[in-house]
Amino acid sequence: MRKEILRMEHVTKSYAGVIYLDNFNMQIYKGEIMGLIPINRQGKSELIELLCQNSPIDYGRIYINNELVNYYEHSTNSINRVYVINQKSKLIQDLTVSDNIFVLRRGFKKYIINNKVLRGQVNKYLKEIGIYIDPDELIADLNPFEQCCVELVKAVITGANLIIISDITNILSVVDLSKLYQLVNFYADKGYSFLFVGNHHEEIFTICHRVSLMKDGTIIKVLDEQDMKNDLIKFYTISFTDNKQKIDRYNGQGILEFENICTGNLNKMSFSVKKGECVVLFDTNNTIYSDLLDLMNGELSPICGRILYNNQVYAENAARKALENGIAVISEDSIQKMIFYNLNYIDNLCFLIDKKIEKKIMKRKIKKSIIREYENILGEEIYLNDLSDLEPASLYNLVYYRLHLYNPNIVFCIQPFSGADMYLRKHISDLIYELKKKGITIIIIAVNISDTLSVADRLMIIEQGAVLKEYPKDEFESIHVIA
Amino acid sequence: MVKMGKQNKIKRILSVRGMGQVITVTIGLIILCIVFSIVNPIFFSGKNIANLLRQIAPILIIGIGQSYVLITGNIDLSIGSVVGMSCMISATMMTKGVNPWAAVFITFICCLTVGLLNGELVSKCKLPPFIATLGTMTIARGIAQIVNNNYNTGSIGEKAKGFRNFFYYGKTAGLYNAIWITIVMWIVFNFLLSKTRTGRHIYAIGSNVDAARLSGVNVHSTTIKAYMVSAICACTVGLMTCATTGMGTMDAGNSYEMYAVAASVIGGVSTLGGQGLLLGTVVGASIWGVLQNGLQFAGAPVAIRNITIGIIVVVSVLLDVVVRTGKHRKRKAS
Repeated sequence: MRKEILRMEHVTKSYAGVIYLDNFNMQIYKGEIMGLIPINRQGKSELIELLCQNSPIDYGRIYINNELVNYYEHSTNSINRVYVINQKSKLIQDLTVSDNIFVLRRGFKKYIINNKVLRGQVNKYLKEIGIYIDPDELIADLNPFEQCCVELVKAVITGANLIIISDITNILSVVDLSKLYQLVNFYADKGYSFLFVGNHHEEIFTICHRVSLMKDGTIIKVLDEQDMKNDLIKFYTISFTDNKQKIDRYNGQGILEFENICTGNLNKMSFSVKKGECVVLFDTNNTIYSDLLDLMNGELSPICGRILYNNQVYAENAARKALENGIAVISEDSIQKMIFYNLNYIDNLCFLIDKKIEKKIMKRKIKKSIIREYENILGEEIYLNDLSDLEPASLYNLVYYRLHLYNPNIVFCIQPFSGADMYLRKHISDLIYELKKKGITIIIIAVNISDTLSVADRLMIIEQGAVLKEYPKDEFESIHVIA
Repeated sequence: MVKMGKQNKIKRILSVRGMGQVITVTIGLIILCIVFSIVNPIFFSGKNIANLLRQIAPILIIGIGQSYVLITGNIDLSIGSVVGMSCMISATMMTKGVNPWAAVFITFICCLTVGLLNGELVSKCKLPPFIATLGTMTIARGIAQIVNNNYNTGSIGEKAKGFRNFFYYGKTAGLYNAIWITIVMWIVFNFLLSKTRTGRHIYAIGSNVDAARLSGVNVHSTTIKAYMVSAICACTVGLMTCATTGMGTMDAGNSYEMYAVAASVIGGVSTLGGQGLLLGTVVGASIWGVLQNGLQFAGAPVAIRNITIGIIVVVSVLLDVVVRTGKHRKRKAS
């Protein structure tokens, strides 16, 4: 009989009147890779927090290693041996690999540090998994995959009962993801247990032994290995099929053309995007995005090749005023990075519009006219002064409708679906459609393509900084890029 | 094999973050020394070098304290006032007949209390370090003024001869004791920062406080430790000042907080936290000392000296920014 590592029985957790976990049940066995697909985001972070720390719960019991660690009558607030690896690295960027693995962990007793010993130990663990990373290398100098490996080794060394891997598919390329899957399998075979949390069932199915579907803080279905089929999960998900009205596109010349562009990470990259088109650049190595944006913002000059924008050479001077020239960017994790939480809703919405108005001070009547135009779409929220209580969907509205109002020629969307649950991804997809409807050209840069295809007109596979292959919309069905 | 090992060791030393800037400022220091010795050959005389080292000593000590705090991502503006407080408390007690070593002990306790208070205000009460230490700066200066009823003290007398020799005038193995104290403090605090768990924790909280907390680092106690080191350094400099002048002066340590920041920043300690080497602080303090001394020999007025040091501080911070964005620029150049 397999040893049980985690058992959560009828766990209910609420806070400020909101039920985050509702009669939640889950079991994870030794050496098992359990998947968790949160259909909506409710309860996801609360579950991870609860697994890490035994904070008070309203009902139920939690057992780790067959030991009752938390139950509704008494919670100790003690910390469990659970390690979480997620998008935001917990490693200290200015310290070395060996310091991060050994020194910065609970229970490291030695006061004086012997670097030679640590180096030997790190090499031993990394050799075991077939990864070579210099133990003296600073974390800041490692790529996301190497950082994941370091975190994994750290989790193993800290003796974690359970390793939670949450939403990392957005930071890893397809190649790195398959390597990570091998490592996870290696440690699972050695008896380590994993909880793999992700929004995309295609990725979760590849690695997990069992998968739980969570909705509104409750497990609604547990799928065994034989049940992990796309047909079976369709019942629990929402459709992303693009059955919206077809948009007539301008079929003139490309609005943006890259001609043999070379930079540190782009290798003679050539492509052309037409006005009103939505193109996905699927970056299999996760290397091009910063170079691409730096080129567009004038922070980087190409070593060779040229960029044509509206049939004119896109020079560095023009690039420095990218926004004024009609090129905008929606960054990854946009609701954190692109909203000014100290400003009210309407000021956030109008933030870019002053670039189009010659006068320094925006007239009240212009604001009023914007409110009139967007009130029907955004609702009463447009009058809000405090944005802190807004739902993520409303915050995404603000990000996308700000550009809808500004009406640039091209919008670069960096991983637009990153970290969003299924409903939110659908909402973002609708928002991108709204921009498309206005004739704005959309260029999506993504390291996974699961949802991007629902809005895309064309997909380009980028490998080693060059366009490897192109797929028009009618060939999307034939794409198999996720191992 | 041995050669390979040595090469690796050199490579490892050079790859330490911040070492690049230390090497750059060291080259700058050497150039300054050469220029000043050409302008006035007395600059390189044995007597002047001994003098120069004694000038550098207090700046280096407070620089060490400030570096600890800066690496945690904070700042200690009270460091200069604590120097004054230390000087006045010890001198007042000695003039009142208290045994000099007992006075030293009590002074240390008082200064450590300020360090503790700074740490608590910053880490527990979550006050911005600039504001918290600005407050304690004024408090410490006030204490320095009040201990002897708003007067400088008289001479600490013959009884304190041993104290004065220990902290400043005495010589051991041909070097002034002030220099020895500085060397010992540097060795101890450098060891603590580079070879111990506490040192790693100090870097960790400066680099990413949330990640450090999740890695089991006690942010509260580590911040307090950094401020305590700063207080110890300031106290020592205060005692040195008292030993030098043989009396307590209320304005002792005035503007020292700026000198401390300058020494640290010139030496490559990042004002954003997480980065810096105490070796750099040595070079930073030396540049400060050499400039003061060399410009004096060159006949430059005080105003010119201040302007020069100010420019060097700005250039050093600029260098830090350039180094931090170095990769990006390198890529652009290629």
